[in-house]
Amino acid sequence: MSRTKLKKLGIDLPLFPTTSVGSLPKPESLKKARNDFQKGVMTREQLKEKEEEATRLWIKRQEEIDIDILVDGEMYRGDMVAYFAETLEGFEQGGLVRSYGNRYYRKPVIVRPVKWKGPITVDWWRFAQKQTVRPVKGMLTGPYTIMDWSFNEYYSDRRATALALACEIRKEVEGLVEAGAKIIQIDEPALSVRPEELPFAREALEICTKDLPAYFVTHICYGALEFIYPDMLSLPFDNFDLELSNSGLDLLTLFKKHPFTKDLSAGVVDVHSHKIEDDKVVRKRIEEIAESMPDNQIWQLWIDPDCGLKTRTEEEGIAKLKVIREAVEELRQKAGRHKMKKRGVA
Amino acid sequence: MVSTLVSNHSSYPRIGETPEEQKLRRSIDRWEKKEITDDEIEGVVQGVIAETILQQEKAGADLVTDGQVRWQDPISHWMRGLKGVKIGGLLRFFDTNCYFRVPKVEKPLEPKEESFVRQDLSLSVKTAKKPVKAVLTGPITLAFLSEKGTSFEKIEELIQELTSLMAAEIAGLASQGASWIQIEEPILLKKPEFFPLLAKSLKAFVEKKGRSKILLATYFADAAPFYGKLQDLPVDGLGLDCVYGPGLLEKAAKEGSRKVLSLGLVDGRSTRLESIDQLLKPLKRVRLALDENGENGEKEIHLTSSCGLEYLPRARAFEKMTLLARLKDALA
Repeated sequence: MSRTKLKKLGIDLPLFPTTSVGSLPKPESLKKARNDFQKGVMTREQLKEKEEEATRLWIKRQEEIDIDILVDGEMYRGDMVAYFAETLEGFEQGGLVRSYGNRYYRKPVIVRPVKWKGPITVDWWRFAQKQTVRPVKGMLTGPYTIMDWSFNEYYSDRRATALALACEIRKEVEGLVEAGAKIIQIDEPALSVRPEELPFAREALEICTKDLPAYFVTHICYGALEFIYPDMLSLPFDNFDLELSNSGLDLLTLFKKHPFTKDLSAGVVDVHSHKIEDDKVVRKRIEEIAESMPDNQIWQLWIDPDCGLKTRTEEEGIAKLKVIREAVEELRQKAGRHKMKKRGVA
Repeated sequence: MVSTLVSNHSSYPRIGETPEEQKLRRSIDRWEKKEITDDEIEGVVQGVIAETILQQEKAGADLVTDGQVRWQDPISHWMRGLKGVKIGGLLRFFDTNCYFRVPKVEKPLEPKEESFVRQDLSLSVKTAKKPVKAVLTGPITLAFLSEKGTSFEKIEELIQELTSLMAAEIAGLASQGASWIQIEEPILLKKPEFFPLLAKSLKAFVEKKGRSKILLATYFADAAPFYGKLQDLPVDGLGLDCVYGPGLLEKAAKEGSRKVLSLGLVDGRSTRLESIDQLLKPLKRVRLALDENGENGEKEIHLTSSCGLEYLPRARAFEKMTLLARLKDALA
C-alpha cells in the first residue's frame, strides 16, 4: 500500500530501504563554531556557513555509504524541541534539566499563545535536497512531543497545548510539501508515555497531516510501546520508525500478537553505545524483524539506527551507518538469489 | 498539636546556570575522557552533594536529602551495587522525559562491598544542619522495571530477594543516622495487587529501621482510591502526590491519618508557581483533621513537592522549596 503511495509520489525504493532517524554527529569544527557563536565571537552568518558545510559533508557521506533516503543531519539544531521553541512564538528559553546520566537540555517554557512565524526547517530541507538526487526526508518534531517536553505556563491543559501547537506545525508541514518534500518525518518520541492521551495526540497529528500529498513517517523511541500498540497504528502515518535493538527486539513479540500493518523503519544499531555492531548481528536482527512482519511482508521494512546518531563521534556514526548498509546489501543479494531460485535460475 | 515541616522530596537539580553550578557536568565529561582521576571526580561529587544540601537549607527545608546527586537514575543506581545485575538499555521513567537504564538480574544477587547510598547519607548527615532523609526506590518498582533473568521464575521471587538485600541497606542507613528513610514505590498505584507483598517488604524494613522512621512515597498516579489501603501499611509516614491526586487533601481532611503525611503540594514537574492562598485552606482542614482525629501516631505534616525536584531547572526548584517554606509560615 505505502509502496504504491511512494511510487505515486515518484519515489522508487529498493528492498530494505536504508535511512537515518535524523540527527548525525556534528563535526568538531561546527561544535567549535557553535561555542564561538555562544560566546559572541562568531556572527550568525559565519555559523550558518559552518552549518551548511557540515550538512554538505554529511549528505556526501550518506551518499558514499549508499544510504537510500537521506537526512540533513540537523547540523543547525541543538535539541529537537528547543530548536522549534526558539523559532515559534510563545516560548521562553527554559533552564537546564537532566534527561539521563550526564545529559541535560534546555526545557522551553510556553508563556504566550504559540504562533508559527515563518519557515523553520524548509530552507534547510531545500539546501540538503539540492546536494543530492536521492530523496531527503523533511524533519519536524511533532506537537505532542513539543507539548510534553516543554513547561506550560499559558494553556489550560495538555490537550489544548497540543492542539494549538498542531495548528502551527501544520503550517511548517505545508511549507515542506510546497518546497517539494515527498517524505516527511514528524518525530513523536513522547507518544508512548501516556496511553490515555493517544486520542488527542491523534487529533493533533491529523491536524498536521490531513490531505497533504506526502509519505509520513514518525519516530517513537525509548518508551513503553506495549501500552499504545496496536492502537498507535491508527495514527496518520505511513511508516513508524522504532528503536528495536536497544530493547533486544522485544517489540517483535507484540508484532506477533497484532500484525504490524504499516511500514516499519526498524532501528537495528544502538545509538547510545560506542561499540560498533558486527554486521552478522545486524543482519540477524533484520532477518528476525522481517520474519515478524505479517505474511512476511518484507517490502514494508526500512532499516536505520535506533535513534539520532548525534551523541556518537563522527567515526562511530559513519561506522554504524556502514554496518547497516553492509548487512542490508547481503540480505538484498540473498533475497535476489532466493527469487532467482524460485524462478528456476541456477 | 500537629507539627509542620518542609521536606525535600528526594532529588534536587545537580547543575544550574552559572559556570560554578555546572562543575559536576563538566567534571563527569572530563572523567569519562580520563582527563581527571577517580579521586578528583569523587571530590566534585561530594562537593556538589554538600552544595545541594546548603541550597535546600537556604530555601527553608527542615528535612534534607543528598539530592541524589550521584544517581544515574532511580532504577539502576542501587541495582548497580549488586552482584548478579548487568545494566542494559534505556527506557523512559514513567511519563517523564527522563530515562533509566534497565537492570538485567540473575541469581544470585549479592551486595558489592560499598554502598553509595550509605556513603552519601553519611556525608549528608555530617554536612547538614537539619535532619536528613535517605531515599531508596522500593522493591516492587525495582522488580517491575528490571529485566528478570530465567533464574527467577516469578516476579514475586525477585521482590523477596530485593527486600532482603534492601533490609540490610536500611539497617545500614539507620545506623548512619537517617532521620527518615523514604521508600519510593511509584509503580504501586498501577499494580495495586502488590499491596500485600509490599506490606511484607515494609514489615521487613521496619524491623531493621532502628531509630529511623520509614516513609512510603507514591507518585505519578492518584493515590486517593487507595488511601485506606495505604493507611494500613506498616510505615511511619505516607508520601502522596497531590498533583496527580487533586482529591487527596480532601480525602485526608475527611478521613484523617494514622501516619505522618508527606504532602506533595507543589508540582515537581511544572515551572508554574502555585498560589499559597489556594493551598492554605485545604491544608488547614487536613491539619485540623489530624489534630482532632489522629490516633496515637505522630501528628506531623511534611510539605513537599509531588516528586523529586530534578525535573525542574535549579532556580525554579529553589523557588518551589521557598514557596513551601512560606506556606509553612502562613500555616503557623
